[in-house]
Amino acid sequence: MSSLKSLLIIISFCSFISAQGMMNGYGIGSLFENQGSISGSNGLSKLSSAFMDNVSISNPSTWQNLNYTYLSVSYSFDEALLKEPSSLNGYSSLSNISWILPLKSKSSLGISLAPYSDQRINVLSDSTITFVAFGDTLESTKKIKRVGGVVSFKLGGSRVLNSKFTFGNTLNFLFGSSRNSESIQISSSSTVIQKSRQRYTGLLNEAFLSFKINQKNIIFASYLMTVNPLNIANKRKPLFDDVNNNEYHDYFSPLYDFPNPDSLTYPDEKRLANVHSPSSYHLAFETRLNNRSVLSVEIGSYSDSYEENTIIQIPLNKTISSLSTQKILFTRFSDKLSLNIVDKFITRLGFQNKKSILEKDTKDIITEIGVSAGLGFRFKKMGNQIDFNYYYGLRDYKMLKKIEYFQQFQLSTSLADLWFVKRRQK
Amino acid sequence: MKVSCTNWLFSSLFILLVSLSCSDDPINSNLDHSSLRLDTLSITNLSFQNYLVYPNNGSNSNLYLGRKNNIESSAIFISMETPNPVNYWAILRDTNVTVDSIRLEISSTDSTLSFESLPNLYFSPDSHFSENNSTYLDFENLSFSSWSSLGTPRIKMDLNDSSNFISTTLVWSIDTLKEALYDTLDTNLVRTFSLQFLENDSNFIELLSEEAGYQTTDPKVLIYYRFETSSEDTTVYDTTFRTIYSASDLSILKPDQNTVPSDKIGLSNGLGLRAKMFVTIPIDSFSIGSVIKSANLLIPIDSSISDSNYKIIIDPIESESQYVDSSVIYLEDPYISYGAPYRDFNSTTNDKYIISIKKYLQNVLLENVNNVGFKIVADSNNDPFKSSWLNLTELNNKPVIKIVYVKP
Repeated sequence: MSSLKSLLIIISFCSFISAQGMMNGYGIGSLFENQGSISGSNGLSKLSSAFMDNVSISNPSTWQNLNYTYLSVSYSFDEALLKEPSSLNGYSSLSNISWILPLKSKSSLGISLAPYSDQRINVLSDSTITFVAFGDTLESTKKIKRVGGVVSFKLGGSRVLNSKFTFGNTLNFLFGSSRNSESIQISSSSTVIQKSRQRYTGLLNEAFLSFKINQKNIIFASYLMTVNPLNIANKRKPLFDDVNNNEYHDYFSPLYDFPNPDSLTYPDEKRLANVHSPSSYHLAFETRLNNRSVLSVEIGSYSDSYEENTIIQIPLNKTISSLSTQKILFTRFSDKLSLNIVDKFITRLGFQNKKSILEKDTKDIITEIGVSAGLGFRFKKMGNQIDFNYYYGLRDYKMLKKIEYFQQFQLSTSLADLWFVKRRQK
Repeated sequence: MKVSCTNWLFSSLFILLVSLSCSDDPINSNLDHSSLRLDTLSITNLSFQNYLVYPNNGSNSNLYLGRKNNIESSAIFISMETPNPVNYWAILRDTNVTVDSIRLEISSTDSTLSFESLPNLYFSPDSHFSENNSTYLDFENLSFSSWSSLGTPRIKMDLNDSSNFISTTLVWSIDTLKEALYDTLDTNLVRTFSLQFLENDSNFIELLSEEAGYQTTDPKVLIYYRFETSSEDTTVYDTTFRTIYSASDLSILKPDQNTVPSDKIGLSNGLGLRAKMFVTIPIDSFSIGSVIKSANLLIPIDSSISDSNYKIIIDPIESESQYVDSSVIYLEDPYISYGAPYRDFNSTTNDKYIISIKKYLQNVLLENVNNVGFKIVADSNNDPFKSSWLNLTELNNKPVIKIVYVKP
């Protein structure tokens, strides 16, 4: 009972002191892969084994090591706290659904659906603009609000090439939409709003390779390339005066938005090519400390060869052009044969350091450090698994002299079963 | 053990779900890159032109009789139609009742009316005027020789409980019209009353028209009558009355248009004086998609010759039906205007007239309406003997349209 009380106090404390957010305002939003852990069952790992022994959910070149078909669902809670002035942003959403089918330990197939980028952000101008109009002093404040994001549907698989090498690949179909609302409020009068809607399409390809040096050490590598850069179909709606203050351009009594929506001609949708064209590589070295524990080191580098445009309003007016990541991970897997309940748990610990560079030709830097701790519990004969992962860290926006504290809690459930195998009648 | 472990797990999850709730605080940041900008534009190249229309005062809430400010109202017309659904005129021929008296009453807010300044009442069973269209042109040779003269009224002063003045009522006895007011042989009976001063002197009176309020102060005819109801052992005599309100009324205004200054731009209902304002709107000065936050037209008023608090209507012109000559008097307004929602009104202050033309200007930018100009007219409820004159001569106080807009 005392342990329950302790946990409640710790969780409550964490939820008040820490927190996520500004990253959503850069470029096409915060890339989910760079936000923390990809799913609760993977911890901070991208390539090295974390889900279970020799398997990473996000690395297809390890999927053939699964004994059963897995359906894994992960839910994520994210919070970010920016201090001075204080701003707390938090939300929760489904973070990953994966279905992985191992085929005779030689190959595998898998599909997954996950957020690719999160664009939810609400930015308020940090100063009031004074404007003198015909002798009257008008004060205006601006606001940019963006909602929505890009979703990724991945189709992947792997093939064991020989006893040392396994090759994996995923095709990453990007799609989704977002809505942008840019507004200006003049003194105490109604707000003038410009709205736009974006639809996204793109295709990425990521190749994976695992190289088993010996029974103890494995090297993993991945390379992401853009097949079709992310394209945007942008529909910019006419500017309007939101007289009834409901943020919609409507014309209902008693307060009518101006001008009347029926009096306007809506512009055609404009298509923009190459607003996001990422490429990245990741390398991981995994060493086995004993028959249940592994230690791994991962490094990664990401760059975005996007083309700048003046049509899409980016809330914070910058895009992350490159990112480097370093991770140290420790995982202790469960013991299937042990009768001790403690041995049924998987323990994951991780530390990561990131450095993002904004725009191609500036020295605007965001650094991030974070620690992660996770627990997984295997149950039932087939090895169903429930996983929790907590990630806490801080980002230092050096050019803005702002520090952001963030936390992420992921909850994941993985169900194992035999698929496509005819069952014997009971 | 199993139960407590499950409880422990679900309690933890519940606390997490509650404590990690969604929040959406705005982040403060520099938004200079936001394209939305405030801007202003002044338009000063406004031109004005007066034009004349024969005055019609049918929708004014007052009836006028007499001469003032070079405008003469020679007669007032009031018509009484058949009330619907009950025709009270039929009481006059009802054999079951006894008509005691018939009265015509017209109210006034003037407490100084005296017997010396009261008009004579005339009656005709024919139609003589159209409330919305008749002008003095229709009554150039007006004669009451064929009308029934009913004399001057008595004055009834209405006071409240504190003996304060409420209104004055002019009451005419029209008992002699009992047969004429309900003539079953006349298939086109229109009961027209008219007021005129017997002598063309300097008298001037203001009465309340049917537009002044809802029925209570309308010109009206009251029929007082009595009837008896009998039962087995009693006969009851009862007296009562019925009211018939006027259907339309009109003062016939004739201005002396020779006295209208040709070098000034003015507005007056009594003079039939209206103005057209033309403005070249520099559409190219606005970015495409701009939204007008405010657009106020400011016209200086010559306070030395204008009446203050004068209500003026501005109505964008949709098209001109003909070339408008300022020396010609038009039977009806030569400009076809848009009306609602672009038509608007405001009252002048002592020295200026300010009105918003935001809706119209926005639609000019959107190319939904033509930019032909504006019709500026005095509101029909202004005192027709008053006027307002624009001050267009001061170089540092020119008419101007001040626009504040947001550009995308």
